Amino acid sequence: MLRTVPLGKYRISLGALLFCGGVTFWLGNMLLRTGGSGFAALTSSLWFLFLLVLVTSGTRTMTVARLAGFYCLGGAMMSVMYLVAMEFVAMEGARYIDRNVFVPTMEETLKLAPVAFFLWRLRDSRLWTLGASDVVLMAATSGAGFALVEDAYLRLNGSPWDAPIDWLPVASISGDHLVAGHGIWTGLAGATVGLALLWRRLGKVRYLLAASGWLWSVLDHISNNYAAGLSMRHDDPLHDFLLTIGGHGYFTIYFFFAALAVAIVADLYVVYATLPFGFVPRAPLRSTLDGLRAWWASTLERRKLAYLVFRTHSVTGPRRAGLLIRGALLRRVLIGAPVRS
Amino acid sequence: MRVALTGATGFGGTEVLAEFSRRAYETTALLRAPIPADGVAVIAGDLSNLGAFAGAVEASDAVVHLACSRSSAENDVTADVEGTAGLLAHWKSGSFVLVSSGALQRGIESGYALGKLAGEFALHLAASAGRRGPAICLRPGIFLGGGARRNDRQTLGRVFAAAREGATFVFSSEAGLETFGSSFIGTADFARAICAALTLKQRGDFNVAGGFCTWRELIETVNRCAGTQAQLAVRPGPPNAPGEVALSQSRCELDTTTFDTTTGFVPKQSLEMLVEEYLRAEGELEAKPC
Repeated sequence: MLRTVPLGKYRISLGALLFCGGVTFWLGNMLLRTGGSGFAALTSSLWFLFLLVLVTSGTRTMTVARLAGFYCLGGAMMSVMYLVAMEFVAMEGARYIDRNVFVPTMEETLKLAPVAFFLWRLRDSRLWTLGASDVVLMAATSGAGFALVEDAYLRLNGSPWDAPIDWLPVASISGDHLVAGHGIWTGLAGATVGLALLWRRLGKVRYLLAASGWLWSVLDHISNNYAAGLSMRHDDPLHDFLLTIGGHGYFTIYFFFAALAVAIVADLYVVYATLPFGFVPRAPLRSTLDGLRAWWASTLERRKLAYLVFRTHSVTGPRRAGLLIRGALLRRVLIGAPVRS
Repeated sequence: MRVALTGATGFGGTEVLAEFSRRAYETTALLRAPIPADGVAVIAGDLSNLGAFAGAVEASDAVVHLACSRSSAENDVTADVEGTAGLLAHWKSGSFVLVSSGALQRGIESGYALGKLAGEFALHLAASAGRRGPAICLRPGIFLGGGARRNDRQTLGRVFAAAREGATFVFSSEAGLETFGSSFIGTADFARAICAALTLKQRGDFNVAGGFCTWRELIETVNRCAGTQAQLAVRPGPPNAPGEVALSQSRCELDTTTFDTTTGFVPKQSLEMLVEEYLRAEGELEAKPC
């Protein structure tokens, strides 16, 4: 069975080739139909993600290739949302308030769904080697992909476009409030999930912590959608209430950056203070391309081991034994000892 | 010296317990089925249920952890590792000597090796948390000798049983016939090595062995001493005819220099001595040495 195809002096997997082809078709088609505004939306989305990848470069274990997958999954979730929303809005008796509670809640859930599925599917393996900043990245990327497809849809339908903020182009100002945007809403939800997964010592409080980001994002999203539909009215008490408790959308931005900072600091602590000195050697940094790749791959594996070791302190029983076995194998790879004879 | 010991009834553990008694160590042993032993405090239990042994570990000057289920199933590996982790949770001070496996040098071939590897990992992590004593992983070669459990999944027992049946030992290549084999250690040497390890002040992983033998040397020694007629054959592939057997098609020669030079350990049991000891225990050797 054909699994790789030649590409110059390298071979590329068929899956990667199909993925690249699909992404090229998706983005190419979108750019052709939306023109300059679509290009602007794409660049602002990628710029936001680039900055996130940059600030988490000292802590993340997630590769850019994996994140690209989440970007596409987020975009695909928008298609699902479109179908769901069309069905719901067409329902008889769907009131304005219902729509503005249902749609944001569904959107926030669907954007987080690829991340939740990933975490659930790898609950016995990769989950234990993730940092909090990895979950922020995955979630924000999924949200950004979702936003891109939504933006394209809005442009194609001639909807008015809010003015993006210069220093944070994925967010925008709409009337009297700030729209944080899907990337930030989902990133906030991911940050609290990531911190809860890292700080297992919090006990049951961590469930509340995990849910808090998503809950806040849903609330702010509801507030935004509700306010957007009532932009010409300022005598609605619910409108005023939602905007007030959400700080006219600004609180979400503050919470996101605060949660991101906490996630990075917590991860930095784990990465640099958990492994005993000399426990695994650091790969030498070489100036060749292959040398750099090997160093980076080794650095990511080392971080995975650090996250796993950190979590062994907060579990007991067979789960701890499972983590110790996994950690022992990971360390053996890092020190270059044979794993299979 | 107060020593907490697990695995005291194992192939190597029996001799370790005897050596501790000879040296007048105050030994507390964790045993599933308590046996009467002079000068040894015995606590009934196992690694999943330490009971009073946890207190003994906390109060001891050293912990020697030999116990292992020699598991192959993943669940048993998990139980082994969790048992080691449970023991480490009570380790407060003094040396912790974990007996691992020299086979780790080749790779992870079995659940047994995986359990040992994870045990080492847990020990090094535990040692780094708080000021405890040195964490020492001893990686011995295969055990040879005539102890009570000499036929309990031990290499020499398998070789002798096959040789007595006139089996043919199959090697995958001529080079394998000349080179495949393993470092080995006698149980008495092993017991002395454990005592030597308790004098170490630095943590580390140490290979320990009494010597190295190729499988050919081992089989020929058994043939010579026991008068058996085991054959050797070279052909690729696993044994597939009646009467054919194969040993591990690899060479596991441990470099024991670090342990030997650091502790001054000198092994005393040669291959022939150990085969003789085994055969004597089996009643297969007359008074005359082979």
